[in-house]
Amino acid sequence: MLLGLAAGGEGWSLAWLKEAQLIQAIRAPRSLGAWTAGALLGLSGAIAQGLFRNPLADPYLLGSAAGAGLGVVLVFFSASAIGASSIIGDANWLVQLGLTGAAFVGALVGVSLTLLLAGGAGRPLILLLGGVVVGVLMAAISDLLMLLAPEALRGKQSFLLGTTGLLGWRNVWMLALTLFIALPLAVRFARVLDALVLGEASAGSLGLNLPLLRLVLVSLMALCTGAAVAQAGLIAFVGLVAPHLIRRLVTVTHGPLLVLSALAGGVLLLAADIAARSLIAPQELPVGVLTAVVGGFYLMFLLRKRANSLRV
Amino acid sequence: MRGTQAVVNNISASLHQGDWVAIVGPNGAGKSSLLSIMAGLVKPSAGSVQLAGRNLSKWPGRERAQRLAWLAQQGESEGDISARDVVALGRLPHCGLLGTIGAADEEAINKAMAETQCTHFATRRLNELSGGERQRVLLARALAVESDVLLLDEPTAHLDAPHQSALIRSVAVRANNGAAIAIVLHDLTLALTAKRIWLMDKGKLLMDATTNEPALHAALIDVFDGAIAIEQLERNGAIQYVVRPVI
Repeated sequence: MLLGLAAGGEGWSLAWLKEAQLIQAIRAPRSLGAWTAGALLGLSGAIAQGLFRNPLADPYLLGSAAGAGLGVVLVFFSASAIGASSIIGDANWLVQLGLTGAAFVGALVGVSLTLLLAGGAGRPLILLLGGVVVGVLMAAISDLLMLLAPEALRGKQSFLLGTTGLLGWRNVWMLALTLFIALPLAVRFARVLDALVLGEASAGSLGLNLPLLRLVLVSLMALCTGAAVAQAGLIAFVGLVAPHLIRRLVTVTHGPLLVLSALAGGVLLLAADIAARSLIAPQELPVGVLTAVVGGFYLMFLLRKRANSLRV
Repeated sequence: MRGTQAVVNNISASLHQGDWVAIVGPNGAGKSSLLSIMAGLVKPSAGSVQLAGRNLSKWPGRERAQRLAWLAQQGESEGDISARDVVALGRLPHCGLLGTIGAADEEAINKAMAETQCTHFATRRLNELSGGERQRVLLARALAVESDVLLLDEPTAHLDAPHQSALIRSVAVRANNGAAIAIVLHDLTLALTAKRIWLMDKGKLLMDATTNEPALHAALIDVFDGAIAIEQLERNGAIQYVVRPVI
């Protein structure tokens, strides 16, 4: 976090007092925002992997992030249609709530479509394929909307690349509030994910009301994804990598796994954000591009390792 | 009880306290389907299943799960949680989704793990265990429920001979203590150590008989197309049946 406060566009600096204003207005919300957005993505990924019993599940790969993205684009589109100026970075509470709500609904629709297309979550690779198809479709619809309302393009672009550069205190509060609601709830329901380790039928035989519990967990996943996407744009693979790192390090049930994945997701995205600010300073990389490159390689590694053992 | 038309059909049978029944029959006879229906996981298209005089579908999920434990055939379970945490899932119907594991739960978990001899790899991950070790963990999970009714589908698959014997001994003890147990078994020698046999073929229950009935032995040989022979041994004054293939 200290590194996040110290890393500026002009290089590194530790002159805290001289830069107090800069830190307070820009670097602190940005670093905190990156951490909370990463935590939400890590949590969302850990829920998805347990719920779909799929080690490769990730909000980005399940169509839920793309759905959230479409939700946000729809808000941009509507805003430009009624003549409002670009609302990206708008600090108004209502706008932030609206964006998060739209992203949440979009994420729910996205993941539901993926499940429908894949005929349930029983076949991991088919599920991912379904997610990719839904992702492409959602992106295409977003593009179509942009063609109709070019003035919304500016907002959309920085958003699609995934950026932490525009995060202010209001965004941080929004992200933190979502994490504050979602994390304890998810931990309360973590035993469902433990039970799913036994398989759907066995989990059902333990007396769990699976359809209802699945809906609760999918909604929590969509809420986390939606909030992260609405505030920081599409940031890939943090949700995939964070739970994996934790599982490599410790053997735990899903309760601790969810908490640790959120922590790891926060650390990962903050680290990526610091790197994005510093690697080609004074220019800045969109953090989504950086996570996509690093996470993409990690996914390739996982796929290669697991392709033989996964049921298609 | 009556099963679905396609898989099991027109079956009427009952399982009482202290019963230990082996369900046997050729591949595709409908044994696993019958067990799933008995566990309330598959709804019969006609007829009903009663648990303690009450229609199984009328039982609240958690109460049913306290009274009735079901062990699936291996294959579906997969995950990175520890063996002990898997066994602890057997206590979920008792302590609830939001409750915590108490001393009685710990005791049931320890007892079940000792019974299936998996205490020494309690901290290893499910995905890192061999087929036999994994089967013992899953079995311990079902035993840890400490339910009145125990329905096990092929629990001896992947188990070596000493663990198969240990399983049969522990089932017999639980039945003597009042549990009602039904187990789908492929190994007919093990099945003939049960108190009763339900012989199934083509979705029908052909016979419900005690294991020492000559008519049952004849029916078994008939159902398996004469490919088996049943021999009687006497060991320490007790009669034991050995089924061998006829080649």
